[in-house]
Amino acid sequence: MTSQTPFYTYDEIMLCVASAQILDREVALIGTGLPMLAATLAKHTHAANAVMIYESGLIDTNPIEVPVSVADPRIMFGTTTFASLYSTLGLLQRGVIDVGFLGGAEVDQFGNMNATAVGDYTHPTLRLPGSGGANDIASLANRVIILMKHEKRRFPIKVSYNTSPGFLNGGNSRKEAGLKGGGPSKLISDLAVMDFEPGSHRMRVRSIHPGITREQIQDSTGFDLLWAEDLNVTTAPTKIQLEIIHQLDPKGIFLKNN
Amino acid sequence: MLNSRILSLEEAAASIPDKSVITMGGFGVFLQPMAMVREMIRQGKKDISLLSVGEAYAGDLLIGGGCVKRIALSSFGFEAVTGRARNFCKAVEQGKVEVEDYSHFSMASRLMAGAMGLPFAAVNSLRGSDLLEKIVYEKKFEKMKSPFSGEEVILLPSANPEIAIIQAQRADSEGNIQVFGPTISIEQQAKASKRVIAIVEEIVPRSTIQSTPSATLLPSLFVDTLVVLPYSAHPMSSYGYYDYDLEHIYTYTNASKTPETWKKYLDEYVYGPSDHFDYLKRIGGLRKIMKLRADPLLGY
Repeated sequence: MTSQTPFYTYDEIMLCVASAQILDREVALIGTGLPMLAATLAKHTHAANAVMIYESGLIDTNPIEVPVSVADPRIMFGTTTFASLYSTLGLLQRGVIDVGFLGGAEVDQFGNMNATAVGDYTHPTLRLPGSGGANDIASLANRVIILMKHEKRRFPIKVSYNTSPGFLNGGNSRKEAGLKGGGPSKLISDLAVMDFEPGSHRMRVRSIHPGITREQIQDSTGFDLLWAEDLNVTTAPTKIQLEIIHQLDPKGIFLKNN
Repeated sequence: MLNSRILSLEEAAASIPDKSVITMGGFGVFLQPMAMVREMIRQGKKDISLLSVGEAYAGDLLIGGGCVKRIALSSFGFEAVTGRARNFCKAVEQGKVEVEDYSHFSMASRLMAGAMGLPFAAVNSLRGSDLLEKIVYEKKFEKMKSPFSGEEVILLPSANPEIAIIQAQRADSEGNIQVFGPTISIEQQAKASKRVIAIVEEIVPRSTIQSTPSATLLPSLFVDTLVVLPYSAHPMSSYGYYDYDLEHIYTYTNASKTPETWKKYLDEYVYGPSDHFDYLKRIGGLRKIMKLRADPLLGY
């Protein structure tokens, strides 16, 4: 362990890569879970002027502790605008959200996501929370960043319920369906960073996290992945990033495996 | 309605008939009408239909109390804290409740249209997804080209619940309701509904409301029944008043894992307490209340 490559977990590399997707001065719509910590990290590092928006009706949040919920009082303190769910998610429709974050139970080869039900919809084997703002973000944000744990059952060839549209059946099908947002631009898992190949819109590996092999990634995926020609290794978290996320999450609500 | 009526929690709950179509305020760990839900379960409400946005804890508890038959919702999950809302999930998996899914924005738009007195809302989400394909019990949507620009939009029927149950921070005795923090969907839910029951932490003088009118979310003309009860959102937070009770939330979510532990939870925290103040004793009493009480600077 040196100061350049400190010890980190797979959750932490996911988090730091996700955080880097928010550029300074961008407008980002933050969903629940790891994205909340990624957004807070971005705000405390490279994107101090980014505007973070939460669907509960919070615009421009500036928390000093990490929230457990998109309606946690920890993001109410220090925010500049209290609004409604209708008006904050309405910003998506207005086209002002640069980047939105999504997680889910399943993602397929075209970036469609399931957050609703596994199995038959009316009699599911596993019922999940449902869309929340996910469908709205997937439909309308200019860019969508997906965060997923990389497991075969979570990466089926086709999702059993399409809650949040990605590139639908690939090719031009997303555009033809009239979806206005740009669709998923990156998928960050605990093994790799992926995007969607222009044209076919099939999932393609762009970078592999340090210490992970191609075989591991393909074996944890339920369909054939494409591989970028300039495939590289994901940038590891910096010592400062790690220090900040542990200051923000001292109780380990998100960073449980430490 | 002017001169809104202040009722006890018990009286207000008694005014909710079985089979009512209700919507409840709150979102995430914030401002959900938990004391009212506990009282509705104690009174044995049956066959309630929910029109829900993100009031997961209130909804999950009401479902776990056996009160709910149908749910149109956008999301019932406990987010980062504990994941799935188990009473809700199990009820759907076991076919005990009918469910129809929307997105947050589309459900809020239905309520907005209801609040505006319009028959439908127009949105640009939902396209290409199964939210438009898997339809259970309603004519869910229609596509229409704008007569002005020719642009296609998705139309959704407006939602007009029979009763809105709203949790807020404070009111005057007339029922002018003030909310501190994001307003989530409270305004749309209340204005879309035929009757509004509001539960607040405290009553303040009318002059206090008059000196802070921009915090008034619901003027008294929209409020039919007012209940005044401190810590009535527990274990949720009431920004500026108290924090959420993470310890009790874990007690709740662990209890909802098996039918036996869930029954024990209901006995201890819903059926057992003689009233709301006895409930507060059982969750940790004054010591817990002091711990949850908000720091005036942070609001939590």
